[in-house]
Amino acid sequence: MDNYLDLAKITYLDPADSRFYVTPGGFPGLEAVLPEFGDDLEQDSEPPMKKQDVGRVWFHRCFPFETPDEYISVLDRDGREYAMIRDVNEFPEEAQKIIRGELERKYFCPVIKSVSSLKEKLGYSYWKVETDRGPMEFSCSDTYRSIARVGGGMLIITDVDGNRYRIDDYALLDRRSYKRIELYL
Amino acid sequence: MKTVFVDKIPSTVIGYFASEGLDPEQALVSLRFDMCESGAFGDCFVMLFPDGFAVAEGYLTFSSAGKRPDGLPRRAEDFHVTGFEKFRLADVGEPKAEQLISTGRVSAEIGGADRVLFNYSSACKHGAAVFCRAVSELKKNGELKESDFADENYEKHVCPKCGRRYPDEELKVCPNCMDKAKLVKRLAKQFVKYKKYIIIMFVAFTLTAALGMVTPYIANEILYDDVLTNPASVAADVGRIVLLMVAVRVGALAVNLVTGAASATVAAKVTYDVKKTIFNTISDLSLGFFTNRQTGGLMTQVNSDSLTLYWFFCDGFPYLVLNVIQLAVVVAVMFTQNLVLALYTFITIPLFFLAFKYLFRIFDKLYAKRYSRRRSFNSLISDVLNGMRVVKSFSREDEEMRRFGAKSKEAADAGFDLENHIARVYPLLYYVLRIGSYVVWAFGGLQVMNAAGGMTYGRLMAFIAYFALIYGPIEQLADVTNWWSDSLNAFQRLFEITDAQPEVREAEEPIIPEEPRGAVEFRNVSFSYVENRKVIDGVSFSVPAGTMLGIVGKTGAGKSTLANLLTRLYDVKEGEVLIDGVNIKKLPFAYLRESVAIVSQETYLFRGSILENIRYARPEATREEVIEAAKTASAHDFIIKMPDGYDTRIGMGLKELSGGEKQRVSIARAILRDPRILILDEATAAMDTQTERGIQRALEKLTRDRTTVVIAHRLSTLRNADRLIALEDGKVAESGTAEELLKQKGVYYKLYKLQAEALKTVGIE
Repeated sequence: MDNYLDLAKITYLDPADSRFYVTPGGFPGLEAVLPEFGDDLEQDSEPPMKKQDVGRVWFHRCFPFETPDEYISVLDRDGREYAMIRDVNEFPEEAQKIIRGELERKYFCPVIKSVSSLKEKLGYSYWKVETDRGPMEFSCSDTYRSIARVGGGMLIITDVDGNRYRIDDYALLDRRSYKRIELYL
Repeated sequence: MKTVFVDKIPSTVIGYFASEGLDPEQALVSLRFDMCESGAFGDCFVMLFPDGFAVAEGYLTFSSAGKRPDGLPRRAEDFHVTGFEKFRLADVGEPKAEQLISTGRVSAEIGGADRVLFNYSSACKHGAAVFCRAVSELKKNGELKESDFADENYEKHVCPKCGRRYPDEELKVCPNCMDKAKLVKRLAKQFVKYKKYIIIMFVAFTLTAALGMVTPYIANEILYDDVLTNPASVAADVGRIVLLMVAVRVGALAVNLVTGAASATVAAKVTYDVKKTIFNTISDLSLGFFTNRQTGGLMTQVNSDSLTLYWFFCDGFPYLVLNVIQLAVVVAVMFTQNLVLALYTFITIPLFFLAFKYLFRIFDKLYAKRYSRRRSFNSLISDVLNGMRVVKSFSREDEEMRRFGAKSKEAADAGFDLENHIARVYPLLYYVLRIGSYVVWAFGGLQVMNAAGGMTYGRLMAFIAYFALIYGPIEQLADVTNWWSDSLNAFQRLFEITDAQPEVREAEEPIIPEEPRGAVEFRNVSFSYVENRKVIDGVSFSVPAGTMLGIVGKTGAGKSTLANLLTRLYDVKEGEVLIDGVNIKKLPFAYLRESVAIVSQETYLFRGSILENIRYARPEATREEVIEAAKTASAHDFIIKMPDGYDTRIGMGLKELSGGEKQRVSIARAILRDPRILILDEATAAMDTQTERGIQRALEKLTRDRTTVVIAHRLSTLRNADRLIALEDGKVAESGTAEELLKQKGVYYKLYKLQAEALKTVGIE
C-alpha cells in the first residue's frame, strides 16, 4: 500500500449522469448512480451502486469557509453520505441553481459591512452593525470566543442565540469599524 | 382548551388573523418568528388551533400616529402580508424543526412530500421547538397540557427588571441593569466585615496627612522666617526644633507601619474570601457552564482576578483614600494662607483633569486588550502542555513553538502598546502640571519682593513645599487610573462568575424518599444539549431495586447522556427521572449523590496518593476498607507492585497510571462509596478481557443487591443483566431479557451476531 487514499474511496457525483430536480415540497431531489443503503449493522462491504431516484437530499459543505463551492457532501435523511460534489461549477446551470439555493438557505449568514457601535458591559458585548441584509443588532456573551478567525481575514461572529454573522475580510473594513473590533482580535 | 403558550403578538397581526376567519382568542399556541419563506428576515406569525394552524408572513412597519394622551408619541403598526396559509392538522405529518447552520426551518410531510412550513433564526429556536411539540401532542392526544409548556427556565432567561434577554443563559446577569457604581458598592460590602481595620486605617491616613502638613511648616516658616527675623530666639530653641522634627518623622513612620499592617490584613482576608466565593460558585455551576468555557481561561480568572483584587485592597484603595484626604487638607491650607497665589496655582488643574478623564478611556481599553491577550496566551500554554504527547508524536514542536511565539508576541505587543502609552503620556501630563509651579515662583516671588499680603520668603518656600504635596496625590491619582481600570475589569469578570445561576438547582423543599431502596425509573424522558437536536427522545424504562439493567447501542445513541441525566449533571427537558418514586429534581443534592455513584469512561484522578483518590468517595473509610475495595476492583495487585504502594502519588506531572489502571482505581472509589444505585458507563472498556472477567466476578458480588445500570459496547460485559434496552437515535428500540431480544432479531441480535462473528474470524467460538 503506497497511500492511505486506497483505503477509502470518495464517490463523486458525475455531473453528466446526475439529475437534480425540485421536489413537490420545494426541496432538492436527486436521481443518479448512488449507493443503495441497507441496514448498517448487516452491511459488511460497500453498498452496491445503482442508478436511482432517491428523492429529497441534504447538502453539507465540507469546508464551508475555504471552499464553499467544492467538496459538498450529499446526504440522506439520516445523514448517510450518498456521494460528494467535487465542484458545484461542474454541474449544469439548472442543477447549480438548485444546489446553490439550498446551500444559501442552509448557510444563511448576514455579511457585516460595517460596525456602527460596539459596547461592552460586564463581559457581554452589544453590537450594532450594517449588513448586506440591512442594519442589525445582536449581543455576544464571551466576545473573544464568539469571534472565530477562519483563515485569511474572515471572521465568523456567533451571537448568544447561535446566529452567525460574517466579516469577509476585517482588513477591508473602514477604519472606525476596524478600531471597534480590533480589541477582540 | 386553554391557551398554553403565547409570544407577544402585535394587535394588528391579531386583527389580520381575525380577518382571515380565525378566532385568535381560541389559539392554543401563538408564536412569532423572524424569517420569511425566502429565507430573508421578516415577521412571521403562527397560531395553532385545536384543528389546525395558520402561518402569516410579512413585514411589520411602524409609523408615527400623533400623540398619546400622556404626550408620548403613538406608534401605528402595520402588517404587510406576503403570504398566508392555513393547514388542517389531519393533513399534516409530524412537523420537524431542522436546525441549519445559524437558522432553522420547520417542515412537515403534506400530501406525501416534505415541505417547509416556516423559517426562523436561532433567536426563535425555542418557539420552533414549542410548535413541533405542541402539534405532535395535539395529533397524539387531541389536547395540550399547560404544564408541559410552562417552561420556567425559559421565563427566567429574561431580566425581570428590563425584560431583555440575558446574554448568557447560565449567568443570569443583565448588564443593562447593573452598572459600575453598583459594582463598587458591592465591593464596598465586602469591606463591611472588616470595619475595625478600616477605622484603624482611616485614622492612620488622617494622621499621615496631618504630619505631612506640619513638616513644611517647620522646615520653612520656622527655619527661614524666624531665623531671618529673630535669630537669637531660634538659637535658644534649636534643640527643641530638631527634636520636634525628629518626633514628626518618627510619628509618620509609626503611622505608616500601622497602615501597612492593617491594609495587608484586610487585603489577605478579602482575597481569601473572594477566591473562596468564586471557587464555591464555580463548583456549584452545572456541567454545561464548563463545557462552554476553556479551563485555562477560568484558571486565569480565578488567579489573576483575585490577585488584582488583592492589589486593589492593599495598594490602590488605601492610597486613594490617603491621597484624597491629603489633597483636601493641602488645598485648604493653601487657600487660607494665600488665596490669590493658590488661585494662580490651580489654573492648570482643570486642564489636567480633563486630560485625566480622556486617558481613563484609552487606558481602560488598553488594559482590557492586554488582559485578553494574556488570557488567550495562557489558554494556549495549557492546551499545548496538556497535549504534549500528541505534539511530540506528530513532531509538531516547531509549529507549536511558532504558535507560541505568535501568541506570546501578541501578548507582548499589547503590553508594549500599554507601556508605550504610559511612557509617552505621563511625562507630558506631569509637565503640564508643573507649569503651575512656575506660576507660583513668579507670582509668589513678586509678592515677597513687594511684601504684598504679608508674604514672606519662608511662607513662599512653605507654599512651594505644599505645592509639592499636591503633586504626590495627583500623580498617584493618575496612577490610580491604571489599577482602577484593571480592577474594574477584574471585578466585572468576578461578579460575572459569582452572579451565575446554576442551571441545575436544588429543590427549595427537597423530599427524601421514605424507603430508600434504589429503584430507578425514566418516564418519557427527552433531552437535548442544543435546542432542536434531541439526543434522548421519549425514553421510558424502569429498573426495580436490586436489579441490573444493561444499555446497548451505537456510539452517539445517547447512552452516556442517560447516565448524565440520572446523576443530574444535566436536567431533563421533558418527562421525569424518578428514584424510589421521587422526581430527582426534588431530591436534595446530598441524598442524590449519596445514592448514585458513577464509574464512567472518562476517569479523572486527582493529584494525590492512590489512597486519597480511593477515599475521595468516603474520606472516613478505614485502610482495610480501602484495600478491600481495591481488591474487589482488581486494583490491589498493581498497586502493591508500586514502590510506594497505596501512598504512590499520582496525577499530572507525577506517576501516570495507564487507562485500565485508572479505571480500576475509579471502580474502587465507587465500590467504597457503597451507593444504592451504581452506574457503570463503559467502566471496563479500557481493560483486557482477562482483567475485565476478574472485575466482572467482583462486580457480580457488588451488584447483587444493588440497582445497577451498565452501559457497554461489549455484550460480554452485560451477561449478568436482568434486562436490556437497546438505544437507537435516542429512542428505546427494544427492551427485554437477553433471550427475548435475541428472539426479536432486532438491534441486539445484530450486535450479538457481529460480535460473535468477530470472534469467529480469529478462530474462537
